[in-house]
Amino acid sequence: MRFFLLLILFTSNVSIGQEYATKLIPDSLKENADAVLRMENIFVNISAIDKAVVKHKYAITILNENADEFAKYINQYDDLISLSDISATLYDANGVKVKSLKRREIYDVKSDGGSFLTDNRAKLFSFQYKNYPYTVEFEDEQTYNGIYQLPTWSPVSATRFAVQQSKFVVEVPQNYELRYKQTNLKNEPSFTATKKRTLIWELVNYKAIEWEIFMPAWDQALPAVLLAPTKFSIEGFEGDMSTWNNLGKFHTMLNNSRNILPDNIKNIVHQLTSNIKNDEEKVRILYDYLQKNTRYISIQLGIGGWQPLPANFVAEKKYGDCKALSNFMVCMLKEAKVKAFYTIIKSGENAINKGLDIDFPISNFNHIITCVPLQRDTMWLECTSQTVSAGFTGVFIGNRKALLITDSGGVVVNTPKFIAKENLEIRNTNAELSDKGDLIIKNKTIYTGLLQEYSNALLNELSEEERLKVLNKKLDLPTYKIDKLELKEVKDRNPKIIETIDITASSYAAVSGKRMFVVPNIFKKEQKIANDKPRIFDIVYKKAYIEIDSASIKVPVGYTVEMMPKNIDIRNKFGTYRISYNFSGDVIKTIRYYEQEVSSFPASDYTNLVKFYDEMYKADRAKVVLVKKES
Amino acid sequence: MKKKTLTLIYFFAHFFCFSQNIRNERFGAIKVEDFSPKSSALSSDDAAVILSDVGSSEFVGNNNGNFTILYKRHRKILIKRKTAFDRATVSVKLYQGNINTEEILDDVEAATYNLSNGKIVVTKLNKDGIIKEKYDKRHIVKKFTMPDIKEGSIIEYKYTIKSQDDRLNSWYFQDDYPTLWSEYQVTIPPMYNYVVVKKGDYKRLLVVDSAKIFFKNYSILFPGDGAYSSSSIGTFSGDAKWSLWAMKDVPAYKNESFIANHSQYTTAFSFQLHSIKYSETNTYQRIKSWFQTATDLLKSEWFGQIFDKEKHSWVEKEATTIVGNLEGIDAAKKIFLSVRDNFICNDHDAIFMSDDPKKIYKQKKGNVADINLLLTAMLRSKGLTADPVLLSTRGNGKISEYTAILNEFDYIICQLKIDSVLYYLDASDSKNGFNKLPAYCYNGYGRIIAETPYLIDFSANNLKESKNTVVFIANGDSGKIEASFDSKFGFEESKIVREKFLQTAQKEFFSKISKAYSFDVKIENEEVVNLKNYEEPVYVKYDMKFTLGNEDVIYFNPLLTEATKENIFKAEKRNYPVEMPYSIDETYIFDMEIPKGYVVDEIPKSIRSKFNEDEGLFEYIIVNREGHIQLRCKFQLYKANFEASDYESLRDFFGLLVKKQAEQIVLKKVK
Repeated sequence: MRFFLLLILFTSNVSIGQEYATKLIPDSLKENADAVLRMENIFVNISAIDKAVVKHKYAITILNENADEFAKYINQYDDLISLSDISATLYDANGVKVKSLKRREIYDVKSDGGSFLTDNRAKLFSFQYKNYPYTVEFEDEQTYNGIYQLPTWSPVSATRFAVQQSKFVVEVPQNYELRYKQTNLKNEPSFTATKKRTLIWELVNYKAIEWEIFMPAWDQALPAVLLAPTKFSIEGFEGDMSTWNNLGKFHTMLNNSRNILPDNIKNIVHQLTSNIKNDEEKVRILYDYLQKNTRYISIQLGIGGWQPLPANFVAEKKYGDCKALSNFMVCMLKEAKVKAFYTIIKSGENAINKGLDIDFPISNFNHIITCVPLQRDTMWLECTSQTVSAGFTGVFIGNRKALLITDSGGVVVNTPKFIAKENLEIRNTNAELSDKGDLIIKNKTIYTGLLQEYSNALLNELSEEERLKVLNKKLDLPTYKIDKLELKEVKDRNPKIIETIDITASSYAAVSGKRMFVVPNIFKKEQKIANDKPRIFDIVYKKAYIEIDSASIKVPVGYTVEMMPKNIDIRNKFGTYRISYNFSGDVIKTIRYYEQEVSSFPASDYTNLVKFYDEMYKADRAKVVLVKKES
Repeated sequence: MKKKTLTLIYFFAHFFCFSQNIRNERFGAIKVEDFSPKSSALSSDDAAVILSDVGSSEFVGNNNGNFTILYKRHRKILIKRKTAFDRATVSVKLYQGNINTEEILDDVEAATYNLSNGKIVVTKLNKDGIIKEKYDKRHIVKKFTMPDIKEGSIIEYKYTIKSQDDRLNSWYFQDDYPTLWSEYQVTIPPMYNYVVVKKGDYKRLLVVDSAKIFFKNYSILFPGDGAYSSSSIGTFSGDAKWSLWAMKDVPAYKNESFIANHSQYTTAFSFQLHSIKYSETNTYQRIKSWFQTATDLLKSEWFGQIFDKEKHSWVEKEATTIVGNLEGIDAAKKIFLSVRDNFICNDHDAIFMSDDPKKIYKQKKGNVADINLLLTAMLRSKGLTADPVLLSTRGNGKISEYTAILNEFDYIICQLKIDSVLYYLDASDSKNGFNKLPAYCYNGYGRIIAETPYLIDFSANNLKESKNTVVFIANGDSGKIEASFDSKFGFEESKIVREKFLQTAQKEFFSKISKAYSFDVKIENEEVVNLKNYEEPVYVKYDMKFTLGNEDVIYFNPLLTEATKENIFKAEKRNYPVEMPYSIDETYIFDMEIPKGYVVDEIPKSIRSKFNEDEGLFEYIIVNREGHIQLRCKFQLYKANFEASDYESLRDFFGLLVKKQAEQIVLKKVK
């Protein structure tokens, strides 16, 4: 499935350079800003269900060199959307024109670098100028030959980016059923209706925002307008997306007759599954066959951005993209008499908790997976990975809504929720401290669910040597070496990684004369979070998980404890944090516990969150002081 | 013409006689044993193994009055794990100028082999699987991806690239995966001469290193232009040079930190055109003596012509406007600042000017050669002694010290000499101070382009990063403790601080600092000096107030925020030399009045340790006297480049620094 490209679009307007004098920018917009969108006009003119022209004109003042990126023009085109009439002008601080773009200065490049074969290309161009501030003005025009997706208006395109004025104008014929969804905007669009219907949104004097930790997904936090057609037509295929069911029907139609498996694959399916009674077992076997025999290669041409390559293509070449591989998987399952569905989804961490909007059918997905409803519960298959456990969804596709494509159209479903007790990191540490301060560590850690994704990647994506190299850099210890590392994967719907690791941490404890300073909490050390600015956005936890670290440190002979840190036990709405210490015999025992749920809190809670993190920061680093016994 | 072609075929046949002792394996000769290769270069961990990689370059006369180079490559790769699946996609970038000079991909053959129940299953690549993609205005990419790939597949492909250029392809014997057999043969026509630049561990790995000279005829068709001349055939005969190199069991190349340029250590041969002898009296010399090269460069309109005071009299006029009545070093500084602050460098990888100097001056934009040659010209126009210096930056690899291979250079700076004092200037970045080169310039030798073009040592050993920090702590009123912090950074750290200030306000900068303390501090009178004065290093100063609480025992690290907490040398083993960007000289001075009501229970031990006798020093001298604790902590490495054999002791030396700087002072309440 094609990644939905943020389509930036342009309009024509007579410009009077002096308008861009930077002294005309209100001071409030310069605050925390590296760039200011001075003006923007996006004019979307839809003339038929398969014809639209998008004119885009915008001007950005670059206040300092951090924002040089915005002095670049880039826009994309492909076989179905052409790009033309690009112009660009550079103005100095006084709004006086410095230069214009020459045609030969435009680069034309392939825009989807990861694709093996694609019609997706981009034109780009960049002004190089360093007398700050300066202003760039760009203009272009896109012609849609077929409509399936329409431009999105999201004027706040980055952090530290203020908007002085941006306007989104959509013109449609009276009988065209345009649907829109606006977020974080106070006013509904103004309408004009003559022969055509015109909708106008405008944003003025929007102050620059800065990146914040635990920020909500960008597209949920900022002003935006999404447009969607009702009836549409692309490359001769017609459809209707007034409901999710109807949008699903379009895909049912696109997938039609792409599900013919050649005999050799049918035979393989029968050989593998004919003796198996249990459906879930069949799914595992066929998924294992898929993972061992195919690989991901992205091919996106025209309607091929939405239509899978036929099952017999995958059968022959043994490769395909998410659409082709999922379609192939569904076909194999069908051959084994297991009902399965091609499923459209928005992947990635940003879509957690959302995925799609139940009230607003629109095609802004980027991925396809396979859904297999089973008697007990449903299994989800990520067909582009050769390593992920059958049924595991994780950060990439878990905890969100998706669209099943059934014979009778689309059905909205939920992928599995994130539940803290399914996402664990349980570490048991046995360590011995020498009188030089060196710590010999033996660790056994069990990671599950979301928390095993990192170790799983280490295990499956890297060689042993690379793994050691990564881990030899990653741990928060002063000088150390990993003596032994073993990662074992237990494949399951909730997969598990068991990590056994031996470490020598030289000078872990600071030895000063007769004393030694040891941080008994060895591995999990929380960082502080920034508190230098007022919080603007809600606080969003996207993941739910539990970490439990139990560590025993044997102290060297002849030492005793002079000072122990205090036990800490915090329970609040942000999470649960406990750390406790115990010294008995010659062993310091430390247990650290942290738990959080998927949740969100108002921005006003931020001060308390900072306090929570400060407390964890301190407690995680608290030292035990050992002193040599007087002899 | 037909006859000539036949002659050529004859010589080809003859030529192959030389090649019998090498592995000229036929396509498709995959054996079951190939699926489980054995070699000293392998580990159980390899995601792929290059079973063989065989290439050749040879010249043939073409019909355009020129030679075509045929570059052939034939590879077999065993893909053991999915992380190497990307090797199943092969891309070849081809130049597409006009019809006569475009590169052509030909004779592509590719197949996947899988072992199924002890039998080899072959899946061939269909010809329609070769895809053409536009790359940029002058290049296309042709590529294919292999069918039926799984863990354990062998892929085999071969192709020929035909190009009309005198550029001979480099050959990488070493890959990121181990290579069992790699060979390259090159046949060079009589009139051509190439210099071979060899890098990496080739001396140990070469198993075949042979060369022969043999008589060979080449014929070229010179097309006529129709009405005035008819086409003609030229024959060139003489001693052709044939070379063959082969390596066996080449280990995978492994990346390591603190290496200026990895290409330096990857085993590969590259070829630089030295000369073309068209006839006894007509030789085109690409690589000349350094004296000749410098003379040519200084005359070239793309290099030294800008120094010509008659042709470019405007240079002096512009320089005069800038300097006014200033002279000597003052004039030089003024010119430097003017060029540095008014020009944009859009390409930091150039040794030739990109356009007419006057035009560049007007546009205020150019590559590093444009900018620094212009700077040099302006300095010279005011009677100062200034010369360009060619460099290869750290990212670009080392130069051949004695052979004048211009391709190896990628940068120009300016050497200025006033009263026998030398200054090195680079005006291509607005953050470069006068006589302060960026660290990436320190990469071995540079070559001055002057009447006597001598080598100049720009070893990273010569670049010193110094840092001096002074902290005073005294007892203030009402139990508060007052301190002052004052740190003068090195130039590289200054650069980092300056970058930070582009993104963070001063308030945030100091807020981060206050968070770095292990106890709560209140920072005031904060100041950052020389943020915009690039000739001087950045100073960070502030005062602070804090309390030590009312504990019976107080533990206190005298290094405060300045302790080095992690060893920069993480890896346990090392294959290649350590190339740090600069040598190090850090001093930390600490003086603390013992807080009221407390006595010193314990302070760390003083130590002094040398690195390799005379290559470094670590000193931690701490005393408790007259109510004060005083610490002087010095860390010095006198050079930046170390042999791999020094690695372990270097790692230990940094380990000692980390360990010592974690130690604590213990204060006890007077009861």
